[in-house]
Amino acid sequence: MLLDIDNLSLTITTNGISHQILDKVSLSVDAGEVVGLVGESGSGKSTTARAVLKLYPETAAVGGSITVGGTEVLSASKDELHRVRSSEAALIHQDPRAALNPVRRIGDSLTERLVHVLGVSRADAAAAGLELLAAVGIRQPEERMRQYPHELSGGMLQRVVIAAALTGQPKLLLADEATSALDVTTQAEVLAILRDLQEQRGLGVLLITHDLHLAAAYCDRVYVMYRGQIVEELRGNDLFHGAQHEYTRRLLSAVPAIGHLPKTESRAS
Amino acid sequence: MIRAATRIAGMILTLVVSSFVIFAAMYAAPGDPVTFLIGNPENMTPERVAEVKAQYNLDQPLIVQYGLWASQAFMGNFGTSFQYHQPVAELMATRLPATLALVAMASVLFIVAGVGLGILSALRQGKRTDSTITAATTLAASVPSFVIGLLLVSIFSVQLGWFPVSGAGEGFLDRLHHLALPAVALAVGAVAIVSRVTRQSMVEQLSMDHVEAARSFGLAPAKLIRRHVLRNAWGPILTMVALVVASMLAGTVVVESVFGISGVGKLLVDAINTHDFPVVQAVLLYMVITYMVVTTLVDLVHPLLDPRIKAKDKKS
Amino acid sequence: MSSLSTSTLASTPVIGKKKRDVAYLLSLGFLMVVVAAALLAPWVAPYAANAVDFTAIWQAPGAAHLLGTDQVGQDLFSRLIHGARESLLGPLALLALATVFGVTIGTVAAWNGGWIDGLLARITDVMFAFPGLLFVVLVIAVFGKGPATAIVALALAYAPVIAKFTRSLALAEMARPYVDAYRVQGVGGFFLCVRYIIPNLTPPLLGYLVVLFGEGLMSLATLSFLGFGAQPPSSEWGLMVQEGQSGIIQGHIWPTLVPGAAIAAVVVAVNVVGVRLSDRLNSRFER
Repeated sequence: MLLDIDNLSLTITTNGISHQILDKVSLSVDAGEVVGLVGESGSGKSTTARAVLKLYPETAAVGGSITVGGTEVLSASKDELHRVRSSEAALIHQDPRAALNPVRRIGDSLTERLVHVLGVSRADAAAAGLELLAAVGIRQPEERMRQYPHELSGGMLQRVVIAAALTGQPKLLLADEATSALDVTTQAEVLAILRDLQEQRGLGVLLITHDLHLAAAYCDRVYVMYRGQIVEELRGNDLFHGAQHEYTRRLLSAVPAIGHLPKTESRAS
Repeated sequence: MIRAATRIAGMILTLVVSSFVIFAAMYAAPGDPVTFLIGNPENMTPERVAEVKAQYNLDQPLIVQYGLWASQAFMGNFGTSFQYHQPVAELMATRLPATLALVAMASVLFIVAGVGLGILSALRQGKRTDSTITAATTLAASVPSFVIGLLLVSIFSVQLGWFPVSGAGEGFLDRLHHLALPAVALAVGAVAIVSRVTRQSMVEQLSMDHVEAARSFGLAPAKLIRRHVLRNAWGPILTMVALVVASMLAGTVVVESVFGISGVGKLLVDAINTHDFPVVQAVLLYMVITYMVVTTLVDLVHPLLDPRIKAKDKKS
Repeated sequence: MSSLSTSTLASTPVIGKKKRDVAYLLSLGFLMVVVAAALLAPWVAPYAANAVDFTAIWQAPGAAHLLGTDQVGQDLFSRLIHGARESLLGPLALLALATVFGVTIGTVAAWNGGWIDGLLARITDVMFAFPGLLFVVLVIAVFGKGPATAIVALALAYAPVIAKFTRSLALAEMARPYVDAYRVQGVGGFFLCVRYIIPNLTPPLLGYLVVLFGEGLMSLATLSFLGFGAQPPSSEWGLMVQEGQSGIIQGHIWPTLVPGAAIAAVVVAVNVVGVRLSDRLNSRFER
C-alpha cells in the first residue's frame, strides 16, 4: 500500500472544549489508484488529507497511524517527515489563487520545492519546471514563469499548482477539492490532465470532493465520511446504486440527478 | 502615475493651508501683531518695531504678507531670530544634526525591537510569550516618554554612571554614547505600535494557504517565514515604521528637553519660552513638511512592494 | 510626544478572558480609589499640598512620609493626591469641550453632507498634517502658557477626531430603517438627531472617549512637563515630574518616580477599562 491510514483519531482542544475532528478513520490508497473521499464540508476530509503530511496544529491530540510508502508519518523523525513531504506525497489546495504566493513569480513558486527544499540548482529546476508546465498543457511556459499569479486565470493557476506538486516526483497526490474553485469547463480540462498524469506516472491519488458525480465517475474506490468517521466504502461505479449507509443515501438524494441539471454545482464564482 | 500626481497635489494643497495656519496664527494672538511679535514690552523700541515690520511686511494685506513670507521660506530664508539675532535657517542648520542623529538611532532601535518582538509574538501566537510581549509593550507605551527618559538617566547615568547625563556629544562614537539613552526613551513607545502591527500582519499571512502549501512540501521553517510570511507582511509593517519615523522627526521635543540635547525640538521649546516667533514658525513648518513628505513618500512607495497593487495602478 | 494614538494599542486579543476580567476589575477598583482620593484630598492627605519642611527634604518613603518628600520637603503622597484633582479634571474638561464640538459637527456633517461635510474633511486633513502635539504647541506659542490654554488647545485638536468618529457612526445609524420611517412621518431632522441618533451613538462613543481620556491625560502631563500647562504651585503630575527632575542628578528618584508611576498606572487602568467598556457597549449596541 502506498498510503495506509489506520484508526486515525484527532482531537483539538480550544478554550477547554474538546472537538473530536477525526474518529478512527481507516483508509488506503494503492499505487496507480484513484480513491475518492466524499462528505459534506466539516466532515473531516481535509483534516484527514493534511494529517498525511502531519499538517495539524501542535495542540492536536492524535492517535492511530499513517503510513506513506512504508514510513510511519506520525512518529517519523524530522528527516523522514521531510522526505515524505518533499518527495513522497504532495498536497494540492482547493484555491490555486490562495495556494500561490501572490508576490512571487510563477517560476519562483513552481521551482521552490526543487531549489529551496531539494537543493537542485536554479537552472536545472527551471528546466524541470518548464517541462512540467508543458506536461500540464500550458503554452508559452517561459513567459508564464515570469508572470505573477494575478496575471493568470484560475484554471491556468491550478495547472501550475499541479505542476508544482509534481516537481518532487511524488508517488501520492492529495487533491483537496482541487477543481472545486474552477468553472465547469476548466474543471473538466484540469481533471483530464490530472488523469493523464496519474496514468503516465502510476500515481496514487486521494481525491477529496463534495461532488458525488465527480467521485463516481473519476474514482476507483470511494470512502464516504460523516462527522469524522468513515461510514462507508464503495466502488466508484456503485456509489449511486450500492450505498448501504443511511447518510450516504441522504447525501445522494440531495444531489440533482444527471440529465436534469448541469453535472456539477461547483463553488466557483 | 495619475495616482501619484493627485497624491502629490493633495500634499501640496495641505501644505499651503497648514503653512498659512502657521503664519496667520500670530493674528489670532491678543493685541496687535507687532506687540505679539516683539513679546517683551521692554523691547518695544522704534528700531525693533521697524525691524519687525520689515521682516513681516506688516503694512501689506495678510495674503500678501503670507505670500512674501512663504516665498522667502521656500528659498530657505525664514527671517531672523529675535532672540539670537541670527538667521533662523542658520540656527536650524546647527540644531538639525543632533535631532537627526537621535531619530536615526531611535529608529534603528524601535525597528529592530518592534519587528523582532512582533515576529516572535506571531510565531508564538496565543502562547505565554505572545501575551507577555503584548502586555509588556502596551504597558511601556503607557508610560510618558519624559518619565522613561528620567528613569533611564537616574539608573544608567546617575546610579551606574554608564552614560552621560545630558548633551548630544561630538564625533561619531561620543554621539552614539550620548544619544543612547535618549534614543531608547524615544523608541519605547514606538516598539509597542510596530510590534503590534508586525504581529497582526504576520498572523494574517501565517493563515494563508500558500504558507501551508510551502510547509506541506517541506520548506524549512526559517525559509518559510522569510519567503512566505515576512515578504508578504512587509507592506503594513513598512508603512507603520515610516509613519512612526515621520512623527518622530517632529516629536523629539520632549526627549530633547529631558536630556538637554540642543536639537530642533529644544529650539522650539526655547523659542516659545522667549517669544521668538520667527523660530517657532520655522520649526513648525520644518516639522509639518518633513511629516507630510515622509507620509506621502510612503504612500507612493508602498505599491511598489506589491505586484498586485502595481498592476491595478497600471490599469487605472 | 507620541503622536500615534495609544488607542491603536488598546485592543489586546491575545490575553485570555479570565485574565481580562481580573485586569478589568483591578483597573476599575484602582481608578475608583484614585477618584475618591482626589475628591477627598483635603481630608485624606496627611499634609497640605504645599507644606514645606526644610528639615525633611528628599526623604525616601517611610512612616512619616508614605512616598517620601521632594527638594523642599513637601510630602509627595499628599501632593500626588491633591494633584490628582487637576490631573484628572484637565483631561475631563478637554474631552467635554472636544465632545460637544465634535459630536455636533460630526452629526451635522453626517446629516447634511454637502459643504459642511467637505469643510470637516478639509479641517481634519490640515489637523492631521500637524503630527503629535504640534498644533497645540502652536496655539500655546500664540496665546501663552497655562492650563486653560493647554486644555482648550488640546480640545481643538481632539474635536475633529471625535467629529470624524461621530460622523462615521452617525452615517451608519442613519442608514437604519427607523430613520426613514420617522422622516416620512415628517419628523424634523434636529429632533431626530437629538432624540434618537445621538443617544444611539453614545455607547460606542463612550468607549472611545475613555481611551481618549488616557491619551489626553498623557498629553496634558507632557505639556505641563514642558512648562506649557499647569504652573507652580500646582501639583499636577506632569509638573511634579518636571520639578523632581532636578533631584535626579543628585540621586533622588522618588520625586520623579512617584508622579511618573501615577500617570502610567492611571493611563494603563483607563485603557483596560476603556477597551472592556467599548467591547461590552458595542456588543449591546449591535444587538
